[in-house]
Amino acid sequence: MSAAVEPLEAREVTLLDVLDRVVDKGVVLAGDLTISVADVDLIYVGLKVLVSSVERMESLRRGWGSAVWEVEPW
Amino acid sequence: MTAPAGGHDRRQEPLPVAETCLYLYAVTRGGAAVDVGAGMDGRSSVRSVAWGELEAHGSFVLVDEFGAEALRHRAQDPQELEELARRHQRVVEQIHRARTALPFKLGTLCADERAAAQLLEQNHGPLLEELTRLDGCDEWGVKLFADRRQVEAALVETAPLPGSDGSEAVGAGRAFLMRKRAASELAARTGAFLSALSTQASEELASLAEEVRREDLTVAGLGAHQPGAELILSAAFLVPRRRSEGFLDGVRRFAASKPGLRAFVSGPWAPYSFVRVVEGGPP
Repeated sequence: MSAAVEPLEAREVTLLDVLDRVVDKGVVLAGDLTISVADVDLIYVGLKVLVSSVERMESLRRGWGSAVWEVEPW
Repeated sequence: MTAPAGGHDRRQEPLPVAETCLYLYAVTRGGAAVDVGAGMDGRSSVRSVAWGELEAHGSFVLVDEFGAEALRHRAQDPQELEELARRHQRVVEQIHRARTALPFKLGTLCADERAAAQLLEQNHGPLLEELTRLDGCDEWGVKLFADRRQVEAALVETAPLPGSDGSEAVGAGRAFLMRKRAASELAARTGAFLSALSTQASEELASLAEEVRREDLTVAGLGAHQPGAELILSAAFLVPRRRSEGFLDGVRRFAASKPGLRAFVSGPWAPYSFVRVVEGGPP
């Protein structure tokens, strides 16, 4: 990895970013074979407002994988 | 409880057999085994089921813990929801790291491995098409924030506001009106500037990517806070893995090109935001 893409300040990917994807998006297969898709969407929308306070408690993490970082300091 | 007297050969009641099902994480093309380890429940390991050119990745879970009812209940607790979402994401991420994965939505279950194979069989065409389209690509999330005050200062510097040079000697009433007019003009200029900047960012970054999905800013803004800064772009970009560095450099360059801009990047993700809903089922 070149220095240019080295995260300046990597921390575990925010819960909001995770929820936005795993709850909201992805493959949905219609038909009888899939027995259930959790109906958590509505709960999640309400949660979005609460989430930002949870984010502050998150700890540092480095390495490969989904990380969020600031690409330019102020 | 004390055992009833006598009957030493009395058979014990069999424990009720807990019902299991297969929790699904993602679909990929077939290939070398992906060693992911334990799945959602932290016990049962992730296995793959193949059909044709496809593989579904899942792990056995207890219906009592991960069935629709159980998940609905558990998701009401923010900490539980976080735990569920992160576990799901971790597994998907490991699979996607090995080869392009079409992630399932959180909480997708099927009865067993046979049902998973049937699922692949019935949707083979559209799933393979999606995998071909997204092959070798990652999703990157970009959030751009602008510091309104810095932007305003830069705008005033390039084009002074009416009456701001203080050369005119005017009465207090007129000075008040001029200040008001200048403030509203500044607000309008800043708004127009930020909106143009948002479009410009999206277009410039899209040129380094295959596809872009912009998120509605009112929705995105609910959870994205930066003190003193305004969210001007929240978008997902589909980027071929070999072009990741160029894309990230592009984000960095854009953020550095204007005063008061701050960019946050997340990724690489499996292409969650770019998977089209696949509607299959028996013909």
